[in-house]
Amino acid sequence: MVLPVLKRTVPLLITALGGSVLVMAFFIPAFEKWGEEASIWFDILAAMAFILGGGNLFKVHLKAISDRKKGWGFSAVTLVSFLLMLIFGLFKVGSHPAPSTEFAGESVVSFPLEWMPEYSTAGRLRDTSVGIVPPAQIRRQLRMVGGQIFYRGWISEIEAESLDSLDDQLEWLCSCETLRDVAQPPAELRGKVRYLADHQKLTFHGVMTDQEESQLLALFSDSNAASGTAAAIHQLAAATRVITRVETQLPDKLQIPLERQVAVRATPTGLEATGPVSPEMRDWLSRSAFYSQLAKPLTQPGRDDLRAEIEQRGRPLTEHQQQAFDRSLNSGWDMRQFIPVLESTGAPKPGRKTSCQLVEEQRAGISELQREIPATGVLPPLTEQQREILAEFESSSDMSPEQMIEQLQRTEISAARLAAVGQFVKQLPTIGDRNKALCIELLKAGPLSREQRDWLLKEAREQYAWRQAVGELFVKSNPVKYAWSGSYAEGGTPFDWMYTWVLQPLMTTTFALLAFYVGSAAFRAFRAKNLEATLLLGTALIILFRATMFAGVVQGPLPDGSVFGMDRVYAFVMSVFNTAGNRAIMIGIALGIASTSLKVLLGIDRSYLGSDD
Amino acid sequence: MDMLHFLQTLDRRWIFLLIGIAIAVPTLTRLKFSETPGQFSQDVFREIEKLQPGDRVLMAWDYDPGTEGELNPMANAFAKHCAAKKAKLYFITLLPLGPQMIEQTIDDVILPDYPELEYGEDYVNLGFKSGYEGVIKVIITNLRGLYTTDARGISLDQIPMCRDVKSIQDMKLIVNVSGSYPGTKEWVQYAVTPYQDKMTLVGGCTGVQAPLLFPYIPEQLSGLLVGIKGAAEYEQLVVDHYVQENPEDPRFADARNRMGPQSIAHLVMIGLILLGNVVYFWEKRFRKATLPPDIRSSC
Repeated sequence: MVLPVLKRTVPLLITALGGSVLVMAFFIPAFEKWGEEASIWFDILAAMAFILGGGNLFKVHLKAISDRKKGWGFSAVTLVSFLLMLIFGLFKVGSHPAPSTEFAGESVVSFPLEWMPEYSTAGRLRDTSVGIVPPAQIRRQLRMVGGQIFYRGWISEIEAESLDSLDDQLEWLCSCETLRDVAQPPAELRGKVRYLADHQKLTFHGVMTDQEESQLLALFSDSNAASGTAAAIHQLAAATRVITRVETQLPDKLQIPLERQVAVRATPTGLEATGPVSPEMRDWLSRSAFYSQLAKPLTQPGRDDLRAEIEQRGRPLTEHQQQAFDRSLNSGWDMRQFIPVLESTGAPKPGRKTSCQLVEEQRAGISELQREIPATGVLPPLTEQQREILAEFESSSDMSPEQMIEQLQRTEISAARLAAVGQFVKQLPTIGDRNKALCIELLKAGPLSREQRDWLLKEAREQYAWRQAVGELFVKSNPVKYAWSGSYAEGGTPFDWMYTWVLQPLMTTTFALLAFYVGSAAFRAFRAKNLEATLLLGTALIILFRATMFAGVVQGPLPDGSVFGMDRVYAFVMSVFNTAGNRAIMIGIALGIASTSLKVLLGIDRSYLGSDD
Repeated sequence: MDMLHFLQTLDRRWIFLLIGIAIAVPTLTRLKFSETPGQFSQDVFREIEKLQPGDRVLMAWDYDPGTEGELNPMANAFAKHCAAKKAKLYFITLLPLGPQMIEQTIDDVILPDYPELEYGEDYVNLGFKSGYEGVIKVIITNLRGLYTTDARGISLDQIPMCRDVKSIQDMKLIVNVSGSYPGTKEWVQYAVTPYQDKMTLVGGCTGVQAPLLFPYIPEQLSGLLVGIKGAAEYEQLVVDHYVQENPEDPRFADARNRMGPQSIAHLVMIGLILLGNVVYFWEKRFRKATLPPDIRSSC
């Protein structure tokens, strides 16, 4: 008795419920969420269908092979190909593990959430008729009991935003602020250590000193799993001290300051990093060696010298090349463009009161609460001395960005403006960048000798080789996600090979074969046998002809927008005749679908369940 | 009569050979003419031109290698145009073989032409999800209902450009390249139609899909590129505006290059249709002429 119920009634109920929910979700906004849920279940079932489809493919082709049916060899090829693609794709054969890009520059260790300390503060959500479900990123860490909020782990910016989003009342926001201030790592470790509750991992930025290791150990010494936390912290400390080396030729001008040498050092054979190299360190290393070779705007004598250097190594520049030479150098940077930007940087910004301050104001009886604190102070203009330093940097080929920044610091420039100057110099092209761009422009305008090209590209090649080496150090020093984290479709893997050289050509060829069959069918079947067929034939000829380049030729003598132009005729045919015909068909289909769906939902049409047998 | 008999019994392999030559010769000789953009291509271009820097664009690449020849050129041109407009690009696909198409676009257009664009800040690959139009149905109101991570497995909350995206209603524009089912039709039905005041869709499709999509223009579908012809016209517009330094860049000349073979093949096809009809009328006349006079007069 149970089996028939499971076999027929349950699927009928699922269909009726699922269909009704989707219909209601479409027309009634209150049921929108239900529709989402039903659709997610549909996706789970669709994923299962892939497995069933694979199983069915196996069954059909194995049977064909076993029965030695006509064409069983093709079945064997299909099965072998299917298995190969499945194995190569599923097990990611030959693919490299993915780099842990979101934690670049950080050492990572597994650290269960239960090991993290729990923090609490007073606070409660306002009463609502429906329960509030916290967002996924804070759901496991947060609990609220008897007017207290408990939070396990350190609160990140995103988690703080999620906490705030639970309630917009000032009291709640104030409680969140208090909790956020408490649930943080010790002051000495802030900015270095963080906890990722999503991944249940503890991360450390930079090289961990013995003192920092002791501080971390002390922090978790009261934990129930003290031995586990201690082992994890030792493991994390060891990961921050792993040495990575790459062999490369060091640029002549490379100088790594002492404070950076904790993480990266130059050795006689290349570079050596302790712990994972951060993106900031990578960018600094890539550029710092070429800081002294920034391309400053060239004066006329400087341009003449550069042109002479180029011409000395080969043929003289043609007239077109001379124009390209001037054009390329004129497109360089200019301090006059940057100074107005710097002048407007660092304007006093309005402040914001904290929610706790607003709560206090509320309690003090202030009725109109203002979160914003108006900006005070004025933006001072750049001093003459600061302008002179900037001008000197532009004109002097000897002045490095560090020297300019050092001199600006002595003039009591604001931190915001100094940061803007730092950003500006980071974007300036080096001599290698300038000469490479110049080389490309000159080559577009005319020929260059081999020696001329080599001379223009020399610095760019050195820069490229150096960046490659720094990039290699960055990749090698940073951990991968996990062994199987690589992409199944990575270039050069067997899966990629089969996709590129077997699947893709086969699919493209199959589609392309249509052209041949359509040609044959056009000759044999497309005939003006009656009025309807003649109309269809005429339309087909218009559409076919419009999709050629000669349609434009026909259009040529006609004025723009002429009603007899091919484009207008095509648009007219498609928008009027085609649209009308298609709408009629679509409305018919829609009515058919509606009536069939109703029959399925009401259980009248049960054909999708198969036969009783 | 010999000629009529020959044409009546023409072996289809001759037609295959003719089509083969019509495609091979222009391909080998690189036959190419300039393109004059038509109304539909200009509508698509204009819609993308409206984008402001930082606007979010959903790039739905619903095609696979079968239709790659026809659709990849327009996908490249779309990516170039949107990246040049400094929009934030969210790549997605509803086809199992779509991820390779997305990777191809990123490798061919984004990485070489826009190295300054940062993954997660300026563009993101959300990858493939099974469920066909069911996926559209969910993400139109709740992106995280199906997408908790991107194609690389990074949580959406850790991807800066995804943090504030609740659903695809937050997108300024949907750009869909559609090769089969599910495709533009499903995006119209499940994304644009229920939220017509919020969503704007432009698309590119194969020639055979186009007649089914024209009824949706312009209310539900703001613009449509049809087959290689549409791609070539749009490519010309993008090249004229954004690839001026190298208009013959092969990445943005594919569609125009393919118009040569297509044009000749279409002309051959037109010739075959006309020839087929000549044979039909000749045959009809011949039959009539060979009938006995009494029957002929009653015909």
